[in-house]
Amino acid sequence: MSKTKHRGTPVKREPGPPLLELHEVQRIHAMGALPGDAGQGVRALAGVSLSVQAGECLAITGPSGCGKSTLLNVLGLLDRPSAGRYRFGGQDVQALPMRALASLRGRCIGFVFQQFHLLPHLNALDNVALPLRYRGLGTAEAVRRAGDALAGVGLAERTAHRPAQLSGGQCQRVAIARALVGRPVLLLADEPTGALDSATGAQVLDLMLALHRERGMTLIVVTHDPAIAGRLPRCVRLRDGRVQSDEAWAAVAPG
Amino acid sequence: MTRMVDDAADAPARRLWPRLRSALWFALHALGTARQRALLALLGVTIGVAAVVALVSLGRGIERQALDEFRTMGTQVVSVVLLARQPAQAGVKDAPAAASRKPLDGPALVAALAALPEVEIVSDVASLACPGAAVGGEAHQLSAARPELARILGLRLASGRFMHPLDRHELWVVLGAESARRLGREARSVQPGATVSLCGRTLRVAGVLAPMSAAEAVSSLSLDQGLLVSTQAGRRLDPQAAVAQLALRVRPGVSPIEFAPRLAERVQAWTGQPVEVSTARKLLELRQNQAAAATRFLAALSGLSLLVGSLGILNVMLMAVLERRREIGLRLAIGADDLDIGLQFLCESVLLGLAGGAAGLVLGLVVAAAVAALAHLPFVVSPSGIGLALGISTLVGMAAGLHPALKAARQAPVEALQVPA
Repeated sequence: MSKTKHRGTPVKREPGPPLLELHEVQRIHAMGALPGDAGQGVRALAGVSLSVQAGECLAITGPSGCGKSTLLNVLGLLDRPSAGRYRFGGQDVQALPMRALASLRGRCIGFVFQQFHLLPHLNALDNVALPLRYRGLGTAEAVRRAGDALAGVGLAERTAHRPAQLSGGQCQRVAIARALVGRPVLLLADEPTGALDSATGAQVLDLMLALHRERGMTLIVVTHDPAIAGRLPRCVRLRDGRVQSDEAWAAVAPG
Repeated sequence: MTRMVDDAADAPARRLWPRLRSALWFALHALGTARQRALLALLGVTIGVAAVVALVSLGRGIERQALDEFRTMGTQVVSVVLLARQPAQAGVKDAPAAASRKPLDGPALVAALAALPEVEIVSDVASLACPGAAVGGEAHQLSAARPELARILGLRLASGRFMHPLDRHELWVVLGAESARRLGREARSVQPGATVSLCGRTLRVAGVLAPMSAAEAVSSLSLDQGLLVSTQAGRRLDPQAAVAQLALRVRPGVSPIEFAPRLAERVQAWTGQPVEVSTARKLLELRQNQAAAATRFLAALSGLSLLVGSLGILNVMLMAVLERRREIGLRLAIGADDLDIGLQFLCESVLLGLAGGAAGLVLGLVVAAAVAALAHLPFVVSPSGIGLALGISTLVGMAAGLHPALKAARQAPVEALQVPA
């Protein structure tokens, strides 16, 4: 296991404690199929240590089954480590109850998924406004901010369209607007281009990188595609639930 | 950056009302995707609530009608119907009385009753059998009664006057409203003073009664379709006529219901005939008993339908939770917690119940209006019926939605998100 502090991201870096800090994090999925089989399970993460500074931009990559989705779930507070320590924003998340995790997710993390996960019965504007409603914002304010967010991804003209009326690339841009509408400090993208053709995928990645430069939030992209990983300044490679390599290189020209 | 994270973690707990408002908003939008399955489930709630609404509305109608009747004639009216002598029955109880005494006839019976301290006024009613009593082509009940009957039953006259003690045996007749209408159709004058031929005699019209369904109800006299003459005149028309019924009013402060059994006993002893005593209060019970079959049917129907309806909603909601696991996962990922998810599904379930209940409310009122029209009952829309309908549908929705909502709230975000599309 090698671990290298990255140097030279395109955004200016603040000194101080890292935004994300994982120490020997394990995640064991209980099988629980047979009684007396207790204690047995699938070790998705076998001890991952990782540190990410606020404002960083990195890829998590590796072959399928290497544990990168599990790592994303742990990083995104959707799942808790079975062992090890995870500090998010300097706070030990193991100690937090589920509701506090949900609140933290809603306020600090934006997700972009491979399958977009837009709600089919809501139009683009209401889909984007969704996270704000869970923060307790009123409809008028939520819709106003959602409109701004949609304009930010170039979809100001598509607010009243439902997901079925949008192309794959437009859907993913709506999803990005939804992820960023709450101004999160961390944007987690799980195979964001996986369901798109390569040209559209490249546009979506460009958009995310542009928004990252513009807003300075931390961006983590999980991908199995080396071409995408190669466009990000830092790349964490997983294998068998462990960090195989953690490489950083100086500023990459935007595509 | 890290400061922002700390702020967020220390954010105050969200209040219930904004949560509920969002949950309602989401539930309303999800209902737009309700399928046929949901509509079918709603049918149960609709029928159940319709039955309840109809039940309440008809119950109120019956109550209202009875109250109206009470208002017109008061609750102090008691009617005693003398039934045909049945040797077997009479032998059991009235044998000593019948053996020792001769049965009392009309005037003696009335005098005996009037002497009772509880009785304020009393009149006997005799049915006259008389071959020529057909008026307007239809048979009319010709009865003989005392002038007191008007006060006892609270009779009102459309025109003319009622019988008077001074009439004695003069052949004056008081027409029921319906009888007068039928006579009038034959282009004959039914004005007071006009003449009518009955039993081979010519009678003079004293007056015409206003339509009176209430009096009929308690006295079982068909006054609307009847003709009334004085007791003495009755004896002239049909010397064989016997007392068929006694109508009396008990004194204020006397409970007709408590007095009824004693009265029955006395009259039975005096006449040697089995009797049937009915009071205005008993009338209400009778009405309610008549409606009881319908009430039981509606209650059973509503219970069964509500059960089927709630099981239907339960099924729809369980399917929805299964089908929408990805949606639940997404909502959890973007900041919803278990309470938000549970509330949303509970709201959806309650809204489903309310949708069924609203349809049931309309259907129930239509059914109640139709039944009321057929049964000549007043149609009453009671706020309590509407409240009950909404309350029941909310409860059904909650009961049916509780388990699915808990199931939805317990979804782990990771597993829910991984469900294939």
